[in-house]
Amino acid sequence: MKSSSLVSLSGIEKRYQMGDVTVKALRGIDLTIDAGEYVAILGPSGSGKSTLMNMLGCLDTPSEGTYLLNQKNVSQLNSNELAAIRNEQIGFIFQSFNLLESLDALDNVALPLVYRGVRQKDRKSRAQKVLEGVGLGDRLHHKPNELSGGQRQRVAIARALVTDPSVILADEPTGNLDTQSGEEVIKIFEELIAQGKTVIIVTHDNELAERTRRVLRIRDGLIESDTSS
Amino acid sequence: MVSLREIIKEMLAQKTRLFLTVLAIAWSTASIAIMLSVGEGMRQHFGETMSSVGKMLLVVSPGTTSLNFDGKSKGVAVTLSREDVASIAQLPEVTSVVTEYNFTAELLSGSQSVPTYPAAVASDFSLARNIEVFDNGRFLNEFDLKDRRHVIVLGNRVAKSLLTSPSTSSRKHRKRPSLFNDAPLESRGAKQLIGTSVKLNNHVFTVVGVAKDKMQMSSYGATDNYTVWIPSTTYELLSGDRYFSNVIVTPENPEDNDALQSLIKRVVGRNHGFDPEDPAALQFWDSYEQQASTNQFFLGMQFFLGLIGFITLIVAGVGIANVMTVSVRNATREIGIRMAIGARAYHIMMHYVIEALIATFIGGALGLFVTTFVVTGINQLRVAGPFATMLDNFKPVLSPSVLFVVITLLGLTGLLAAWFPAKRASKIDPIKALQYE
Repeated sequence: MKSSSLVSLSGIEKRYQMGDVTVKALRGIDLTIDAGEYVAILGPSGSGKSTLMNMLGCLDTPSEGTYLLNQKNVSQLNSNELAAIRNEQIGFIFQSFNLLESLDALDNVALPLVYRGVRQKDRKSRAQKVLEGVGLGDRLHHKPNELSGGQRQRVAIARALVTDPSVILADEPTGNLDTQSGEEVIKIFEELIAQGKTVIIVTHDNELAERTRRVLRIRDGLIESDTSS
Repeated sequence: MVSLREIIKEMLAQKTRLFLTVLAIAWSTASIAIMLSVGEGMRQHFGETMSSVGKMLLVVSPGTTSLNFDGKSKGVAVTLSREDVASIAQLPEVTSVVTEYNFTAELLSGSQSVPTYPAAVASDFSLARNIEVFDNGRFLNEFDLKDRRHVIVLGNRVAKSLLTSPSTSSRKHRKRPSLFNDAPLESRGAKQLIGTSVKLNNHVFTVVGVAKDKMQMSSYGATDNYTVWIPSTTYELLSGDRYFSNVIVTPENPEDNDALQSLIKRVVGRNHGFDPEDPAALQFWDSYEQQASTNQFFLGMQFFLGLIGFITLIVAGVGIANVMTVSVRNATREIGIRMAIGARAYHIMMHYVIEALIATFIGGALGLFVTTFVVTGINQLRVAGPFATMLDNFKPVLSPSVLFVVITLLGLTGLLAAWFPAKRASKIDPIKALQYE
């Protein structure tokens, strides 16, 4: 285990209590990811990949094991501390975009900066810059329902990027998109990698996983294989 | 930490919900504020009429001893003489003293008899007892006293009875006297009476003044509207009476009237030889105490009115809480999204508390606006007819204290109503919330 890694998991287990039954969603994951890596976590539903993603994204804490993010142990933090870590280090991209319907593109992208306590003027200019970066400079004041699926996902990407996070975590980012829009999204990820960002894609789609440089196959709460190309 | 602009945008996206919440708050604010204003108006008005008897007075009247003292058996009638008044006036706790003889006499105007309560007083009586005379006449003056003149000042209702004497109209249409049945006599009517003669126990007196109408909530005898005043010196000459009916004391500190009462009992008791502890030898009437208890009564009433308003406000509070709960439930997924991108518990909490407070603020402002409108409207109503003077008492007043109470209660209600739904929202598990449909 390299302690200088961006992400470092060792012996991660996650148990859920379902009535009388204890379900083990993760059964001992050891994993390191370095800065600048382009990784796919591939597995069928029920494999534990969602739980692993929640863990990586600091939405959840492990029952056992240690998670070091940027050399900081985040496995025992409380919910407010986790929220702060998510805000500073993680950029989430979801299958169903998860934009706030009542806010326009600019306000959606600026929202993480609100929780970081950035002043309104700075929020606006930073959000605008990132939106222009994903090619939506002419859609700043459109609400999500006035945008196409591909555009919505690009707004979501802009929201993930606006805080300049250590890790970009995408959960089935192309799952709700047509081929062409999906391709645009993947192009953006490739650009980000070229800029030295770290992108982790969680998917059950082999084709999407093959586009990355390292594929982790998950089955029954364990890493089945770890192949780099 | 939360964007106010963003919250407002979100609220505007739910216009019906916002409208209903604001309406509920405005309605309850207006009802609590109007009720408190009515109560405040009554309290202030009755406070004024209380002091119309005189600012802060302690009225001493003679009684009968109820205790044996110094060899004298009980049952002795006490008298208040010039010496007693001098003894009372010497007390440093006393600012001024005026005296009054009350007597019964028939007041005749022509052949018509008018019921009245005559009093014989000195010229400084009007000042101590707040008696205001129309400008076209005057109260008794020093010359009246010195020369023992046969002059008389009429109470407003007495003067009114003299002018509307049944000799000038048909006896058949004589109205039964009633508390509200007529308006007070105005300056023009008073002018007709100045200089005319009336007979008091067959002695002719010249009218020199008529008192203005007086709303008087408290008195120790007859109310001033039904009294006539003649110079005390004239009365003494005609009747031979030397003992005062009332000694009206203006105390230095009205709060200490209890102590002053004991002092007066002691000095008068020394003059007459009665027990200073005797509760019945002298009788006291304390306007301060009267006023305090009346004030208490109206405060109580205002509290009661406020309570009714507050219950309305609580109903509105439950409404807000309801709206917030639904609002939070509908926004579960959204809360999950916010948490995923870094919102902490207090960000979520503040979001909903601020949302509720904004609604409360708008509703409250609207309610107070309506209240101002209603209060001004009522105050501008000119009621004519038999209840005019009574309705005068019920003019609502939106005083700063009423505003303070309303705004405090409103803020508390809004805060409490939002607190629990907001707390629940802040405890949502982001993982579950993100899966919520």
